[in-house]
Amino acid sequence: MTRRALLVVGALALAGCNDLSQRWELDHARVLAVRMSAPGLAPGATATVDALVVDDAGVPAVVPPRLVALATPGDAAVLTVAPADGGWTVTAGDAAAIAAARAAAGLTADQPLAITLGAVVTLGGVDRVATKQVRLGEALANPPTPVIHVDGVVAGEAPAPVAIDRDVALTLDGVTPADDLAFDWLTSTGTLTYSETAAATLTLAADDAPTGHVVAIVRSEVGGAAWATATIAVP
Amino acid sequence: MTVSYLPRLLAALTLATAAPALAQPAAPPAAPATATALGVVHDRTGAPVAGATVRADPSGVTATTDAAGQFAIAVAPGDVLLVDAAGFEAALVAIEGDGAIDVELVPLATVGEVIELTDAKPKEVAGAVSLTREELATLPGTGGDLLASLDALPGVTDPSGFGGGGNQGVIIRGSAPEDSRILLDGFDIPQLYHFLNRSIIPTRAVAGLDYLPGGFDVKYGRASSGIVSVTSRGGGDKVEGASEVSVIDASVLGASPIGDDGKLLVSFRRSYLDAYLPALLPEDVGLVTAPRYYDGIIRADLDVTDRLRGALTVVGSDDLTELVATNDQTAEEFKFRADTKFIRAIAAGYWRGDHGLTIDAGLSALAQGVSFEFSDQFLKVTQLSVAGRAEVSKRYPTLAGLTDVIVRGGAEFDPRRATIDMRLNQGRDEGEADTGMDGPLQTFNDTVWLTDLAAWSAIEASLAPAVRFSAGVRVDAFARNGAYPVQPRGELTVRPDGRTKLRLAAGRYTRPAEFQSELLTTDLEPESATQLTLGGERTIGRHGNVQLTVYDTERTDMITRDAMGQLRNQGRGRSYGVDVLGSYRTERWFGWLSYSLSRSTRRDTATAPERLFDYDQTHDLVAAVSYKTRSKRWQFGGKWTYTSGQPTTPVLGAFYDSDQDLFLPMNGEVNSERLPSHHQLDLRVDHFWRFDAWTLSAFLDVSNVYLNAKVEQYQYNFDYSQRAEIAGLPIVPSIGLRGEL
Repeated sequence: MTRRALLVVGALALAGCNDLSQRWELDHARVLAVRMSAPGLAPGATATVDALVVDDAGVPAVVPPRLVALATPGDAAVLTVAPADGGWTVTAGDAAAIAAARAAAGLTADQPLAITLGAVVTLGGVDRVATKQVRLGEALANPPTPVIHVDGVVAGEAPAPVAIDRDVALTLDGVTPADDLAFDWLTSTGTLTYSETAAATLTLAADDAPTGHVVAIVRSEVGGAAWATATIAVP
Repeated sequence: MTVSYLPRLLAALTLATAAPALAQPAAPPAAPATATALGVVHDRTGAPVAGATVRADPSGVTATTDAAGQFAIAVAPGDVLLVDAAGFEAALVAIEGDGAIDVELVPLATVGEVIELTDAKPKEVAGAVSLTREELATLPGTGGDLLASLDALPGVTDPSGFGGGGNQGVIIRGSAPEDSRILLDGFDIPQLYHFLNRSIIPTRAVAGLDYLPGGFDVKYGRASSGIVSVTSRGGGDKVEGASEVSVIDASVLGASPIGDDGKLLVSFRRSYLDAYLPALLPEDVGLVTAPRYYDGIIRADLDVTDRLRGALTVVGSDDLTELVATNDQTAEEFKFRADTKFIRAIAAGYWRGDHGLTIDAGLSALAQGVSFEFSDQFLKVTQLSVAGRAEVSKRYPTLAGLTDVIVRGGAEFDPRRATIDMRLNQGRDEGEADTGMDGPLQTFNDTVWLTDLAAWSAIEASLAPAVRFSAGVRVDAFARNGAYPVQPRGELTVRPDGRTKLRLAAGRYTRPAEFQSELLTTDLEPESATQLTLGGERTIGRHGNVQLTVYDTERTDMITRDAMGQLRNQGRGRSYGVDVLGSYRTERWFGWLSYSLSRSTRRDTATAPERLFDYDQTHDLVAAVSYKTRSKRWQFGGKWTYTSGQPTTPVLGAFYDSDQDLFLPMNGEVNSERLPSHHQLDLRVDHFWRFDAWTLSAFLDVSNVYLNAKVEQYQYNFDYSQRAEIAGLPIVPSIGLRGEL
């Protein structure tokens, strides 16, 4: 067991010794988050689905999935999925159907019934598959949409200025850090530290791209998601 | 010919358990001598062995070798010669042709230049290899490390590296590390390695190493693959001292005779990585205690009488590593602490009575502590054990129409009390692909008794001058699981001439369900293996030896997880291949050429598709040579190895779990891809300065001189869209300085 532990440490030491992308790097196309307009639905309620993605150039965008479907077809009794206005909506079944499904799953009346959706997003001609859970029986909301601050200044539509070779503070306004919230910062230029906390630090070196994008994603324990994006540039 | 031996084999199997009670030492029948056989007896180096007893069987005539090792003996038709000398394995020699008979005796235990009789050596098996301390210490690329040298043996998959199985033991002939045992003086070594793959047992404190890759005797159990038997070194007949300093550790060794009949050896080693490693690492790596270790071994030998010899060995080790760091993305503190220690005392006795009666017995006590903490996970184990074993052997010149009969019977016990407190994520099992998630959390806090008992009996005898067999049965009792596997084993040896030996061995071998989390359940049966081995060995000249072994092992009751994650005896496996070894040994030259061709597969359930074993290695080639100059001031060595890459499971893509912000891999067929094959050259040079009273030597051992770093595993990025090779160190130099009185 000791050897196993030492191997873990060795592997960790080696983990930083390669050129693999880090989670915080916006350097290739992928899905960053999937959001329901409401992560929890009361009986009969409806929500829409969208996704935050990034392309190979590191530019983030919000897009509707090309396809949304139930991961388990048998769940159609309690949740229906339908295309609408170029996107997708999901609608919870009635209270009786949800209660029956909850009982069949061995859940108590106060436990949410979680249904898994599959969402397909096409990026660069390649389909990316993501899963998303929606909770039925109780109305739940996403975290508030955050506002990104760069060195204490609100990052608006104009690129936020960042200096080279200096630690730049990235913070959020509108969201109060709490134990049930998780944070993710991402950037298409520079290096991030503390990217999985509410306040990250961005450092640009001289050979980094002088302009780029910063993304902040907030996730709640109940499946809620919110995000903000900003552009940055070296003056 | 086979048919004519069958009744004798059946009789022998019956006698294996009954012979001690039935047989009486019988005077050899008189037979008219019709010829005189001339010969010479010598050791491995060609030095004559004087005073050796040569007996013609069954005619019963005896002779003794003179100072030149020569003998002349009257023989009758059908006679075979039994040659025995103190400190050597007895040899059985066929009489063929009219030329002088050349007899080479193999020492029982080698201690530098001193040949020492300690206790019974492991019985030879097909494919077995014995290495002396000097060979272990000077094999290039090993840094003089005992277990690193195992890599050069045929059938051993590279035990080092992050992707290897060296974390638990040795991978022999396509088996898991836990399927083989590494023994010190007949008892398990509870911990094999210090940090950086350094063996717990320093090579200088070792007399020799015997490698039994399969087909081993009923004396050994609790292993379904192979045995590595390490013999600790006793002191010599004169006072000696040695100290060795390398970049990793320093050791001192002292040995001295005690009175006329006793000998003592003491060795102690301490690493000093902790003195300089913190200065080499980045500041943000909070190395509280750099890897530091102690180990020590004390061995006292006493010749109680001419017939009774005893030895007391105490070996211990203490390792500690502590690290505290902060994750630069989550800002969470990361802690790692590993603290392991053990001490084992072994009392062994070997008694040789009249008429070929011997008793080999040992008693051992073990105390071991393991404490491992990794963030919020931990494992704390305290283990105490008192183990013992004894074997009684009786040799008969003739018995029931058989000649040179040895009947053996033995028993062992090994009750262990383990207190386990753990909170660990279940690790990845053999054959399990990366799931992208931590395994389920396992918690356990209780005391476990593991009581393993065994008894065995065997007989070996000559069916004809050139044909010898052994047959035996071993019964283990794994009390915790209520399993009592019966394991019959047998071997047939044919010596068509004095230089050639052919062996056919078959038997059943079992390993108890005591490995890691297998301990947490009591309803598992032991894993079982049926081994079939066919080997040939031929001595070439006085110094060369070639051996070839073909093996096929069928594994059943293998422990795998079912769909609910529970361990079950539902797997099967097969390993087969060919091992070839050529060696050449003289006073100045040492040559070694080892090649293994093998395939090892598994089925996780009876109906599951066959897949490659995690450590399957198709090709493994090792070529080594060392040369000592005539002045013996320099020794040069080189070793070149080529190995196939380890199997790996490719990742075809990934799903994104947006709620957990986690990518889950879509794996391809398990172990359907291989890591790149690897080759490397290791070089070593030793220089000796000889003074009146002592010798100073220095060595430089460079592993992988042409910087061809071995790919140990593939690492994927967080979303499995990129893959990188994780390679070992491109070059590993070792330097050392040694002084010897």
